[in-house]
Amino acid sequence: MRDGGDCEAAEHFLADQVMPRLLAHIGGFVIHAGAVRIGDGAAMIVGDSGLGKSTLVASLDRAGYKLIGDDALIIRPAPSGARVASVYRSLRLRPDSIAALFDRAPPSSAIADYTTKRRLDVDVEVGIERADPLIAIFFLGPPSPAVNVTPRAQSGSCVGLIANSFALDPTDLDRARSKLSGAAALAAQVPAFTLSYPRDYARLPEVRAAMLDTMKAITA
Amino acid sequence: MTDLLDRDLCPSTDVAESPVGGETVLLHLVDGVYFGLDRVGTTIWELLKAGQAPRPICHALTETYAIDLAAAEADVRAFLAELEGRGLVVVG
Repeated sequence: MRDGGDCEAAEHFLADQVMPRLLAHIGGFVIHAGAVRIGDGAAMIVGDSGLGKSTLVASLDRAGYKLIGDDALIIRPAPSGARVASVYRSLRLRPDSIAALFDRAPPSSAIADYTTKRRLDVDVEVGIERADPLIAIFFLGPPSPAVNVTPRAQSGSCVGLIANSFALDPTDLDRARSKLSGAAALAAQVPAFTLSYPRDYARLPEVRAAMLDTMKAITA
Repeated sequence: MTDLLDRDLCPSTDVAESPVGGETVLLHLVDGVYFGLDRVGTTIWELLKAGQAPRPICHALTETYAIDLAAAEADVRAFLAELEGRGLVVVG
């Protein structure tokens, strides 16, 4: 390590890349996603990098829905329902999102030289023993003019879960089979939706309302 | 070139599958690609596994889904082309 920047980059690499893959290798279903607690359960938000997962979970957290995590989540299957927890403490936002979501910027630190995102010092409960029941999965769609929540087919949910999951060795066929059956079970158990919305900070309250309405309909 | 509907296609032995609420997700074990089948795709897949040839499958779909034969043939042809392109079905 030459300086603080290298240490931050190494820490970021270990937390974001190594730890999720190791957990996946020893049997966990670890997914690149964010989640918040809404009522008695969790809403998980899945999407490619850059689609706005962290901004949306931060927006929900600011609106009073407790942040579970914004990047790597571990899902524990159970007959009574899947549960979800954060792999590590994380809320990372670009400066423009921090400015839009916070009246006063909270303490934060640089992540690595290659990203403008900053890690915010936030209160996140980590560990599978703190896992919340997973009530709904929202797959982020590309930006759209209106806010739309549409049900997602179970096969599409299963493929989406796998596509966003971590694996230490993607060529390990036994683990690939196991992941397939795990994702299929999860997709059959938890309702999934495609969430499309304009990437406009002013429209986030509308997005949150659409998610809350969906969660209420599921738990009613 | 032979019409896909006249070829003897069957599921590749390199495919694992998992049922998901009446639908199916396929995993190609060599290249690691996952592919989701909707209910109609699942019906076609099950018939392929049962050894049915494409044209009888088209006739079966007309009865199951109340569609005309031309529509069924177009759908099955497009579906099989996608599966073949991904290596999920092969000539038996």
